[in-house]
Amino acid sequence: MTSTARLYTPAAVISVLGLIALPVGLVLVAFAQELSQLTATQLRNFAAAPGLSQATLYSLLLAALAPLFACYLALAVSAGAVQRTPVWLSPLLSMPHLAFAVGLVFLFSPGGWLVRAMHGVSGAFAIPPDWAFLPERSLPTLFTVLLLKEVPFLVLMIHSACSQLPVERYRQVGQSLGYSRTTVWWQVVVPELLRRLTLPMAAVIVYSVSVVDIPLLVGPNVPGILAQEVFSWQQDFAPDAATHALLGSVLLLSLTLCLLGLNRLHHPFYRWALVRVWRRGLTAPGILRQLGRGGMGVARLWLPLMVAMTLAMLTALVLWSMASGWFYPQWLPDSLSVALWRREWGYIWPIVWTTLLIAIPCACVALVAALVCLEVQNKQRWPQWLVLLALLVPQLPLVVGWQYSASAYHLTPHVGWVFWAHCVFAFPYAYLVVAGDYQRYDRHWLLVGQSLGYSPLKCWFTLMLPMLRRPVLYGWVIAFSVSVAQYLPTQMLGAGRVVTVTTEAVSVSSGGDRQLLSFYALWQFILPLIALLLVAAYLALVSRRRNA
Amino acid sequence: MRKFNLRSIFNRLILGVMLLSGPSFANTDWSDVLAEARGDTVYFYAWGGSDEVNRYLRWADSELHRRYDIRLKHVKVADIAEAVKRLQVEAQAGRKKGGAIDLLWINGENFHTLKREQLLLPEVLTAVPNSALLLNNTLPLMRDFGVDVDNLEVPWGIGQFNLIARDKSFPTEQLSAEQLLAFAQKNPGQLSYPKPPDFIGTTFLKSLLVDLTEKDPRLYQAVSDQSAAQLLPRLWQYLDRLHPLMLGQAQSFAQSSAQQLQWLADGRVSVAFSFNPQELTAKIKARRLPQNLQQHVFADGAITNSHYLAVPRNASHPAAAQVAINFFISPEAQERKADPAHWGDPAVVALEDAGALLPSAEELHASWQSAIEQGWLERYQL
Amino acid sequence: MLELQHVAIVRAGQTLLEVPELSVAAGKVGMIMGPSGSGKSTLLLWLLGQAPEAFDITGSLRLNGEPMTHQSVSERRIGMMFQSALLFPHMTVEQNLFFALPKQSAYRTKAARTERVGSLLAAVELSDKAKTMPGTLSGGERARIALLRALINEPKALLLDEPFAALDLHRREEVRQWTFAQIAQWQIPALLVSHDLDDRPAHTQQCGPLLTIANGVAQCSTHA
Repeated sequence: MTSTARLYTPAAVISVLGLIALPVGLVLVAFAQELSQLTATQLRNFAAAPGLSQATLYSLLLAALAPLFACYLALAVSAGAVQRTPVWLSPLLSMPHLAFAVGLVFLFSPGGWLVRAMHGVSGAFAIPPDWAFLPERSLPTLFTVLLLKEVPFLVLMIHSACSQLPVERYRQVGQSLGYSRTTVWWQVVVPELLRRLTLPMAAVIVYSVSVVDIPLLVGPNVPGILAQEVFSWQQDFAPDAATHALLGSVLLLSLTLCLLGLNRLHHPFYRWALVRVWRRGLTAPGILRQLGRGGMGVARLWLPLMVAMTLAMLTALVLWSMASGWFYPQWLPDSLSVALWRREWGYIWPIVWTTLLIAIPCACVALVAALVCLEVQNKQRWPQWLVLLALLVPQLPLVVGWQYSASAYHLTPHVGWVFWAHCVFAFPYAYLVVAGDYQRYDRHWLLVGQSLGYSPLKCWFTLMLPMLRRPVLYGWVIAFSVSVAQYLPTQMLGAGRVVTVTTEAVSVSSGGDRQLLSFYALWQFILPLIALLLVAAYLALVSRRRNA
Repeated sequence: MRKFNLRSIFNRLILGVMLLSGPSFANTDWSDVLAEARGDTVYFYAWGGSDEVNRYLRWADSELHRRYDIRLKHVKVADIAEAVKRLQVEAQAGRKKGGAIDLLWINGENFHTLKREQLLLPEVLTAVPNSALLLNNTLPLMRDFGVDVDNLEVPWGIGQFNLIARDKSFPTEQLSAEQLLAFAQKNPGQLSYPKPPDFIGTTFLKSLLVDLTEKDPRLYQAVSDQSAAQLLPRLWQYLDRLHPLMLGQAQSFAQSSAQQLQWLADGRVSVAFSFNPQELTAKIKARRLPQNLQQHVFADGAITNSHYLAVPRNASHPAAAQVAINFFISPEAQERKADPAHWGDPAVVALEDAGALLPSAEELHASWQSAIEQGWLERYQL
Repeated sequence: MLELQHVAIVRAGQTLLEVPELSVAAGKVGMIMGPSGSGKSTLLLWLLGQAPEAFDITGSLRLNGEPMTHQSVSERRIGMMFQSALLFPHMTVEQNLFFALPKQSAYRTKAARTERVGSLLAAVELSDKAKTMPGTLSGGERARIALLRALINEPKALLLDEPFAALDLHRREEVRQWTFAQIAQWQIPALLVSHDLDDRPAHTQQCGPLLTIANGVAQCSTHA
């Protein structure tokens, strides 16, 4: 026992210092220095920046509502199926937001596939309708992307939380008392679940507050959401821009704190509302119940819909990357050609190579750090929010702070910086994915192993690790896809010289060249998918071998 | 291998001595620069949103590699302001050499800032031999948005503001602000423009301002409170009428002219803008735009300006960057650049079969740029 | 021979259980009985070498006269049977037993290991299960393999924490007798925790001391 502690504790301390304390500390120091030199005029100028209040409102709406809707959609989706392993979840989960956004716009924008198909069938929409579906740039489009993309993550977290709850027993008891499965789910299981979802929800909220690459692609722009404005101030060289970026970051942080506070109130509020309903003996009015039933119906359709949508996106991306002459209202391109693929083939390899060279070791580091922290948490009760701190601070101020400190300490932009930053962000996701199964693991196995004469470390490797093979490998895949999808840290710390499929996709998207954008978005989609398929194939092989 | 390194070190020493002994690059022999540049990699920070430009730069890389043993690394940026910002940060951090950027593609405000803060390598223009070929007499290449180039940057190409519209949108090639508004009234939701401070969006506003004020001479002088108060309201009144008729009631704008062109192909808008007079031909040829399109210019002419190449003062490979510049303005490279099959950007040196330029209009005084942008943001981004 | 002296289990300043003295001879089965929460399982875990963190435990443990109190779990070599068999689910029955073979030169070759495990499985009539995964075994089979796994490791003592409680009634007696027969055969001191007085060996000569816990005090008696 002591020998394990001797080994794990320093490793955990290194993880915490390198991946939590250092990143956050650097930012605090940098901000404190900059803020101490602020003048009243600068503050006034910032307050008068055009569009500031609108941008803040956008961010507030987006980050409060998208996660909330996603949460209830995920709860509704999970209502029927907490026992089944969500195999289908992982491809949806590992799909990068950017590729998802590109795909969604291809499908549902007014000039997109759906409208073209409707034109083809009915002849309507000779001119694409301004109001149809998702406009190319708007808050609703951005909202939809974030909402749909967060559901798989929350479903996974719900699944993980459910296995710590006697859901089946609740159900049996509830049904023996004459309540429907749905009622038991919403009134007994969900209150418990919401408490356990506080942290994952916080992660989703913080992501929604600070995401930049997706709003750059599909968000509104007069003004954009706050993070987008802060990012453009950060890139701007006008005299006021630097202080605007700094104060904008502070505003972003305060906004996040507010939302995280509200997030903590979410499950007490749900309980409170539930108790009020019980006390009054209320049953929901007919219309509401109809709506609820409809909602549950939609939730049941969610999985097939998402799978169909993902396939359609994949098809659209492939078609666009090969399209030659594809104009409205044609619903297929004039001709397909592999010219772009042939031409880009030689150029994408170095980029893919860089992406992998960062993402593979990064996923390994993130996973090891997550496992080490989990192992130490088994003995010492470190609070979970501490481990997930990097996830709870908006990414933009964090990266901006690192850039400040990098220039303050005369550090050259370097791929090592980018790698480190990727690790900081991949680590909490690896942790979240593995944590449920890890903490639930019956450690008596290890005791048996040790009583047979094996050291704790040996037991950990030969017993625990193989038994947790599935969550550990999925944790790795998720960390890998988080690294692949990183835009801000790669671009800002790498000085544009560290080129990954994601930075390439974003810089290409600034040109609106859809063929090229599709090509790179496709690659951004494919890399995590390949990693995932490899892992799934390996797991299938292992279980086949075991059953043979 | 070893011998080669020694030679390169020797060359560096020679160059170092020359630099220390006072004379600028202009006095160093070009063959020394070539020798010094050999084997280096030039980090070229340039906008990466155009497939044509990216491909052209790949070609340049292979040519530079073949001829001078130089690698050209295109660092794609979504907005070159990122690079300007990086130079500022490096300067604040006291980074006098070994900077990340070797070569920049800039003009306008970006150039003004770098010039003002003295972040560009001086005498680059005089250092490259091919600068003798520049069409200084026929084109206004030596003033970049109203500011003297001062040998700090080298002209690379010409931009001319033009509009690309669906057939039969407008009766004539020449176009007025009123005609545009009339079109919008007949076809609501069919117009958008790149959101200022995107510089094509700003140029569109400038063209409107020229048209609406009947080419007021005050536009070509530094902006004053009085001239702004008298001229700008005409633009705002016009936009107040135009915006409700635009795509999505102008709740959001195209992020760039490239996005506007994509929307044109998607049938979302009927008009898009370009700063490249050959873009329409090039894009139709590449099957990125449909056939049924026409090019238009504002009646007062296409606002014309140039774009440039410059080397930061703290560049790690200044010699190689200059060799690259010299190649970029060679007739061969300029000819390929002007060819619509490749890029279609007009040449800045004399070519045998150079395409005719559009009727050109003078740039406004540079100070109008920020006056328009500021005013626009304050009025329309609330 | 397993010997305990002056063991006290303290939790949050309160003494939960005191055992002044206890010794079990090789081949015999000592038994601990007491209500839930009386510290029986905690005592076993402490003997195994890993007491739960919340407890403060003092006392001494000797195995065959050798002091063990400061040894780690892996150094003590005490076999343990939990209520559930805890066979390693990612290994076949055979691999579970391979894993437990002591690291002696005699078992260095694969042939020697296969031979040893094969003969043991044959002796308990489970040869046909060698290549199966534990998940497919019945409860009784699982319990037998788990005991075999503990014994094959040649432990200095064996601890059993209600090993029969999870079994069907009609299986329970069979497994129980088989277990005590094995303990007698391997000549190992064993300590059994149970609620059920029926769990003690049928042959009184195999019965070790009986420790009955009431109100935190352990009363030691020998079976009649």
